[in-house]
Amino acid sequence: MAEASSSITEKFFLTLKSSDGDEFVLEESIAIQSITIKNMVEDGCSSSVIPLSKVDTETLIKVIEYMKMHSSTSSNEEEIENFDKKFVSNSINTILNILEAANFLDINNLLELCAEAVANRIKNKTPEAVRKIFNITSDFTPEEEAEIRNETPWAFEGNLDHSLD
Amino acid sequence: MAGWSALPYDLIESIANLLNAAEDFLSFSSVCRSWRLVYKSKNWHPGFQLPWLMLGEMQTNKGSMRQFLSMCKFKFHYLPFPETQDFRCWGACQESVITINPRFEVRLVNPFTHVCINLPSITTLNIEGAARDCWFSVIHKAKYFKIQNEYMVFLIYGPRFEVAFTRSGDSRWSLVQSLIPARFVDVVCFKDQIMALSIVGTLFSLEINGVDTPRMLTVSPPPQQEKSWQQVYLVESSGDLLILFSYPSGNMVSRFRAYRFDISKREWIRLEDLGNNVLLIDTGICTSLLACDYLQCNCIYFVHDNLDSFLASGPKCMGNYMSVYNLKENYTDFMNFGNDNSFRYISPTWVLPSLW
Repeated sequence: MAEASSSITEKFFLTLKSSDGDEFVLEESIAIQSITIKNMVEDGCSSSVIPLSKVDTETLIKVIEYMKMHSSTSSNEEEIENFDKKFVSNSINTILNILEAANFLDINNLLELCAEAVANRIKNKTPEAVRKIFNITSDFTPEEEAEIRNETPWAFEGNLDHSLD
Repeated sequence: MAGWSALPYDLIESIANLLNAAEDFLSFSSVCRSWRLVYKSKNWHPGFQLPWLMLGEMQTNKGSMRQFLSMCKFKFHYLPFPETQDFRCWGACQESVITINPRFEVRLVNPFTHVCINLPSITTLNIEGAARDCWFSVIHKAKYFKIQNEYMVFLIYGPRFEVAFTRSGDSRWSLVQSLIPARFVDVVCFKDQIMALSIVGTLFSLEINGVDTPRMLTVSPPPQQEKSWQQVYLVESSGDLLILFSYPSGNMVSRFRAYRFDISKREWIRLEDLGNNVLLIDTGICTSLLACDYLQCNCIYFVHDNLDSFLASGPKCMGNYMSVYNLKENYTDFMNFGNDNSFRYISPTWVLPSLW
């Protein structure tokens, strides 16, 4: 009995290493929200440092903040909701980095949160406004542009919002 | 950094599927080549799609066009849809509408792709008396359901308000019997089972059993508290079966009361709010959607046709407006979308814009 109860309270820690070489120590129970990390732990790779070559330090800090807030023990629902609201107001470049990290680390909730943040910034905008917001250059040929407009001409008439908010 | 246009396809697709309005998805698809792949592969399957409201014919500089109202930004679109001019139509937030024309031909028509399915002749139905001469009032309500890849079209028709249906590939309408006499007012597909409602609010289920004549079986009486309502609707909403009663309340205003069916107890439970759902009502048909940026939760969006004045004295010019009843707060708002000057029968109908 004594052994069983001690194993419940005992905490395991993992060390995550960003692409910039910075190391972060995190409770295993929090880190395994990432399915990628969970699989590594189950495969026995957790004793040493886990290198995350696709995630830079700035992004990893954000992802760890998110995982800490969303770990089942520490936060209530209202706190999480407020945290998420603030989280998605990060700059669009930061969201991109987090989205790619969430995809690599396989953290489904975070992926959904970022995808929704992206979708919300697209709604009610013209393609031109969306390109400006996301810093995308159109790679369509003039012929392709014309084809797009011909396929569904109604989508391009009238006054859509050109603003960037 | 590779940037937004280099996202993996899976991520692009999940972002696209969070856009419920066709306009937003098309705008997204016109940004760059990689973001257009979802459009190209026709993989846009949002949790639900935001419908448009199909209005009447309008004379534009491109000829006679059908007017559609999109709820995003409350904007009009004009598309040619000559197949249904002056026909009676029913929609239910689906891709196609059901039409009947003066030759009593019933069709399933997509206003965007113009794909048209001719349904079997209705001459085999029990249409008697005055109704036989009037194509316009033979069918009281028409609905179709997609079950797997098949469609099932239901009609409530004739002086006795009977039910008939036809399925993909059928060459005729199947008539439905009822064990107790009933005038039907609504049918709905709930968890792959067809449920129906009689004019006195009794809930029925449809039994289709091989060679026997399809028949309606009684399931439950209406909620006791509800009496002398104006209209009653049956609707599937986020996995629940709802009944909705409307009562007149002042000039052209209705208030509503909703109940959810408790399947195990076989009784109706009063709903004080609709949760995260909205209800849309047109041509006597109620549909449930999830609330979103463009549709407010707990609201019932109700559009009016001019059928009564059309049948009584010929069509009258009337304003197009929609009332928005908030079930939780119990108040009504109005959305005006301009005068209609066509002097024709107008039945605003919710439809889903098809892109392909």
